Amino acid sequence: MDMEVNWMPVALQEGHEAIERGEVPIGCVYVSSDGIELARGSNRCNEMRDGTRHAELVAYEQMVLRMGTARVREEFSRGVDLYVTCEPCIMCCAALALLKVRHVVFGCKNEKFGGCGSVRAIHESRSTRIPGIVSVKGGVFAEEAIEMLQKFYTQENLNAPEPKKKRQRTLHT
Amino acid sequence: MAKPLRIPLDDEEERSSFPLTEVVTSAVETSSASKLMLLFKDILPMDEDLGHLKRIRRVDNRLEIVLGRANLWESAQSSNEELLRTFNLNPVTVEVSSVEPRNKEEMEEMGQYWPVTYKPKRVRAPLPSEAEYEVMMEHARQIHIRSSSLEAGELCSTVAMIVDPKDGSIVSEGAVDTSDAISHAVLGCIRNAATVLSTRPGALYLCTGLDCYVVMEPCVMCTMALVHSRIRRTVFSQRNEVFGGLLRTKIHRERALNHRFEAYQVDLSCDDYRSS
Ligand SMILES: [Zn+2]
Ligand SMILES: [Zn+2]
Repeated sequence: MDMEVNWMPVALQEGHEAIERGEVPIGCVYVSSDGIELARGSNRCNEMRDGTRHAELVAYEQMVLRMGTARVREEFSRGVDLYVTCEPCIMCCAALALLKVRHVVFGCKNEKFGGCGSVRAIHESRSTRIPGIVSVKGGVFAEEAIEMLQKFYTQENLNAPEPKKKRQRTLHT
Repeated sequence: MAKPLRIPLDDEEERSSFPLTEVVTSAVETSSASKLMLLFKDILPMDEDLGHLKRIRRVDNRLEIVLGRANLWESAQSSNEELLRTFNLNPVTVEVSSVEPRNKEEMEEMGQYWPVTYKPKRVRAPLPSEAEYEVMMEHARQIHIRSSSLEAGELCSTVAMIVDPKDGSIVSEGAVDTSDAISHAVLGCIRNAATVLSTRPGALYLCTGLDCYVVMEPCVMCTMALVHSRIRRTVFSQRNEVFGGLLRTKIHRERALNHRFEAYQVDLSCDDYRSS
């Protein structure tokens, strides 16, 4: 509980920063088993013109860049937790399973792409050869996460009174 | 040459019969039918799985209504006893089709149990022409050769290539980085495609209209990455036994998602390109 109160606001803050950059506001933070922040990040789909640059992958890549794969592997073998403002999508959930993230704590549900139960339940796929996520918990600071997303979409509608051309549109992935 | 095999959609797979499930129904008086329909929308809504069933049917001059799933009826009844008493219901458990019909013939067959509605699906992409198959096989061989210097992957394809089918040009390539658990070839290939495409004038929206070639069926993560990227088609030869996103899990065909793509499995086993 203490951990949630400590870390979810960090993820939310990352999300708010994404709004400033015109990105769908989803933020996250990876925390080590000693309770130390390993990396934080938010959506960069628009900036990178890449629909796979979700917060979870952006932050992970930052971590690898900063610490190197060997140290990252070591941290994950000791147990890494993830706090993310919105339920990880199917892609990210599979990535978290491959990385063997220990606890995934998320805010609001992701009805469009959710991989922790909303569209599929990837976190439940167990195989001897896929490490898997140890536990998943949703609904933590969910109201704040929803409010943040609503703020983004209202703002986006205000800024775009005319329908955008296809290639200029925001990536909602 | 063996033709590439299109991974069948759920509704393309052969089916000689359909599964049944139990629901509780009751004869109702014509005058109270609409009231009951409204009431049941509240107390026992037809969940999505039963969405194909008509709520009411006419048998001769009588009306019958689906009250709800057999396993949910009991509790709904006891918590709404007062309300229901006035309707004189006479609950009968019957078997109905538990799936929606794929065509008119099925609709009629299922209707013998209980009437269902049939909604024709949107038209599917046509099957590729012979010439297109040839090109597809050519790219599949190409990616296969690229993989031959690498150790076989277990969880995902070791190499990937994104191709523009309009001119057959290679947009980007990717290879696995085994030092990292999620640096898969497909993900890398998408990253590289984004870099290349962003420099082109009149850039595409992500990978719209492009095809991805891999040796092994992409894993769940990479399959969803391809969905996010709006890829048109994915072609592979080897089944992913551990974490595949296509054959078993069919994430590329998930109706709840905002994009879906075609997938083909090619058979390169009888190919003699190695010796030629
Ligand atoms: Zn994601
Ligand atoms: Zn993969």
